[in-house]
Amino acid sequence: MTTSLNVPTTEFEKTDRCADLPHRPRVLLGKMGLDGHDRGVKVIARALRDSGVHVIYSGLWQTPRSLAVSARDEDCDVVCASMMSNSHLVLGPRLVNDLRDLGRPDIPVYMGGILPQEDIPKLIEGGVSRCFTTGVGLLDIVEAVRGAVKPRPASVASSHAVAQLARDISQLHDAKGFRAGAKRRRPTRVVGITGSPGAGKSTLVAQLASEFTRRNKAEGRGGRCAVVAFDPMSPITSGALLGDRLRVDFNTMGDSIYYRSLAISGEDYRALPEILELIGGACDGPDAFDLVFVETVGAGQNETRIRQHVDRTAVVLTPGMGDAVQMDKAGILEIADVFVCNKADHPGESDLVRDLRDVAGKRPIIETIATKGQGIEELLAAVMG
Amino acid sequence: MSTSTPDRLSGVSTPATGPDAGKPATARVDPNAVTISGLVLDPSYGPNTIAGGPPESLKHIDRDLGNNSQPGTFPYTRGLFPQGYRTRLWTMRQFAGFGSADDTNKRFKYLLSQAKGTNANTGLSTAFDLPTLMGRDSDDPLCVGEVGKCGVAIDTIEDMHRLYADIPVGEVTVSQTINGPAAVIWAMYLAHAMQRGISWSTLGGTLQNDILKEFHSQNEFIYPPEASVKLVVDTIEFQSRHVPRWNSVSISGYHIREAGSTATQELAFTLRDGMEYVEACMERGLLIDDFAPRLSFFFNSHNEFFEELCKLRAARRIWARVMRDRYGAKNERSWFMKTHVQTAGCSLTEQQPLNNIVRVAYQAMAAVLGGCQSLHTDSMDETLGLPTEQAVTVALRTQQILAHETGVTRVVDPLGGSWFIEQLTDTMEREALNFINEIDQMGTYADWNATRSRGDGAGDTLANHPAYQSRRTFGKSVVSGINKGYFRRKIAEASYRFSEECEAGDRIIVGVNAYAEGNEERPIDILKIGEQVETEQCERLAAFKKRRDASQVAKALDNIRDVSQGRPARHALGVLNLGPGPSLHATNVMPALVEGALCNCTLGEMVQAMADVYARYSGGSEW
Repeated sequence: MTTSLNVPTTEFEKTDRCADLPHRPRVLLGKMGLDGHDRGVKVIARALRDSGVHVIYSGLWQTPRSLAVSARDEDCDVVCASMMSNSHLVLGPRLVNDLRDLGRPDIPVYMGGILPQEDIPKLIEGGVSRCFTTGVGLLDIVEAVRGAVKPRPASVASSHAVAQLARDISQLHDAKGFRAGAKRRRPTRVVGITGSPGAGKSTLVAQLASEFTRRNKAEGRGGRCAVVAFDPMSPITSGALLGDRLRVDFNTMGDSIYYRSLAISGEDYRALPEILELIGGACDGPDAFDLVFVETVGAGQNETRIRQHVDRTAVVLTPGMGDAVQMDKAGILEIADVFVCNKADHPGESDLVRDLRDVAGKRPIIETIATKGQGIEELLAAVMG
Repeated sequence: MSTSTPDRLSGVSTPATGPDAGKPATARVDPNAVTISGLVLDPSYGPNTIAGGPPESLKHIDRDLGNNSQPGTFPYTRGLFPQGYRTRLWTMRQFAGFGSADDTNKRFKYLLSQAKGTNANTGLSTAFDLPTLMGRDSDDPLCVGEVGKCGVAIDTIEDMHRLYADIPVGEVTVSQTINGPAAVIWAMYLAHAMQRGISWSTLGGTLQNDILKEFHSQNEFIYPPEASVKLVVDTIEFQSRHVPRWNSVSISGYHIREAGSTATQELAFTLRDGMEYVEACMERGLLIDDFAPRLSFFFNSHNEFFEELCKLRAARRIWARVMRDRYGAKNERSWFMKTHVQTAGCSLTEQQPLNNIVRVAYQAMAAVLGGCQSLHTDSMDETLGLPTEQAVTVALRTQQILAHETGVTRVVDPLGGSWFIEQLTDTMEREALNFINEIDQMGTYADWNATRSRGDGAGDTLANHPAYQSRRTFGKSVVSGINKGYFRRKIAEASYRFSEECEAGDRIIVGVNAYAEGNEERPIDILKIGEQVETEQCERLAAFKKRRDASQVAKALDNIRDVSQGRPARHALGVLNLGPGPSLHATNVMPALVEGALCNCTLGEMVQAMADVYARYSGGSEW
């Protein structure tokens, strides 16, 4: 009788392979163009995370511009673009140019995938730092990423305000304090979005940011919004997979928001108040970041510390969590200023809303379907009110 | 061994004496039956072909021994047809497409000419470029650098005419590998045939049109899962009414496997996707035996030789039982799991590319021993870029050698009855059924619940497995699994596991993590697509848009939006007359799409018209 083995015969060891570096590597893994073949990029994401790297995944269908925006905003040590669709000669050099335009010509671009040997000199000439073809080992890739990590100067190479903001946040997050001369201002409104994993927080935040931007544009008003998204850090390797920003359509949003992903252990929001001040102080006038959404780690029922740092807390729940509402009257539900019943098209929605009414009191309950953009205007109004 | 020798010819009488002694008196022996050494083989072997019944050693193996042990009998573990490839060789269907429609048309003609004069069945298989696969016109800003690179660029009905120019599409079967915008591309194809005066009733071919696996693996979706399934149902319904010889969906495990799943996951997820379409069609009110015979499958053939051929045997058995027992299909043709197979692109290596020819040959043999209906053999250079003409020719020759020289075509399911093969087939069936059952649990069935199910598939009672038990409603299980991230997670886990094993050297990949030769020079050329393809295609598209009647285009797009919303089309365009016959469901968008193609709407415009109603899907859970 044959049986199936669900674990590898030899596992790729989870160990911190980056502890000796000047700082924890931040890598942006990206897919440009229309190609959806993401097997390789996902394997690499996991191997890097399990080696102690902070991995930011762009999601599919990025333009060179949107990938460059992400690399700058996340203050990455390197951008790794996975190319399988024979468009590398066009898109690779564009990515390099866009990084330069956006104030970060120093971020190296690595490219991997189906890259014919004779194209590699052309890519290098176009500014791509290294190319990887198929069959490269996981540890070789980890080594290449390690090689991209250089000590971070307090100031970035350009005078670009957002590029500098991204660096200032990195330094603060690494407990290296404020840069001398960094401007600080608490944004007008800081909104915390919390709830269980899978409740749809990232999608909601992306929709809220998009709605805020659309509304400001339609009303001819200045002011931009920013997002700080927290994800958990591995207790074993200190690595992390930061996948929240892929819910934002940067192809249309471009520079109109600032999005930053950060990995923390537990509920360590220590640096958050100062990060918020940096975001608020980074830009002036119509470019200022007035509104900041903070997406929590999503640790679950007892994740209540975020409340100390924000002006409004929205707690996201989904249908089928009615029992949780009944049981948990003194946990996360207590800190909500606004309740969000997301996935309102799923069965059990009316049960959830009914149970929530018992605990909500005067606090609003907003029903949303984040994936379809429904209920977003109401939610934005509620958290701004 | 029941092999006949020439003096014991099976089915041929031999005069014992006289001048003709030893020579057949009747028709000559079927040359397909005779081995190189002159042994004449029966078309199949089994317990019943052994005088006195099966030997004891074989009796316990297959619960289907007895009447069911013969190829061509339910549940078809051993093959759909009693004489297998003697009746009909598999179709050698080489996937091709690159650059402009004219470039690909030339490659099609070359492929057809290479098969002339043989008894091989040659079909065409169209590869579209990424913009087309994503339903975008070549001038869309997101398509920069991608036009014509991975396949052929098709924006308009005019491109469709150029793609199939001079190809007798009423005679040669044409397969189209397209999913997200499948309904639109098929509508363009049907409209092009109409303009050429070719009756839809003569058109044979296959539309891949399997959107579910895009959500699991390949990511070429456009609309949210439910709307996407609705569009597939529209095409199936339209096919069953108007294009009788067409295969409406090619339910594909190929991409699931390429994304890193195991063979058993590929088997289970693919068949379960097929079941999702069946349930959705039944909910639409279609009769199962009206559409099921035109469903076909597409599996991968990877390196693990026996596992691959057992996967196809298990797939036939499961599909037959599911269709008959779970869904109540009566027509034998509805029970048939017909499949196209392609060798595993992900198994090829960039290092020492000539080795890929050998890999492909073994994989192709596994597919043939597993009883596939059509086959694509990968070219040795596919990890480097699009295949060159030389590489494509070697790949096609690999199939021809397999078909004409190795003799594996003489006997159906030659490995059937092997202890190993039968047990491996059973194991794969059991594991696949367990996955199917797990997926079923994510749906909701009005006419079924888990507590009523009999048996758990343990022991030898696989036929009583809950996955085989009767239900006729639409559980939306796969859609629900997609929303939960179930498929992506399972596949990502399996894919990572394989990478870990390669990293550790537990799996040897020749030329990569063993037997590497260092800095080798690549011994083969590769095909390059110039950037002028994009420029020229955009110019052609601009000229086309200038020439057409803009008001007709606007009306046709209105109609597509209306029907997508479930409202009657507001404009009478008078370009399509479907004639008498059973009417389509009111929300079926196919007629409006065919009209759109005839009115010169572009691919991107028609896709967007539906996106105005269905919205675009940005992807579910990534991990």
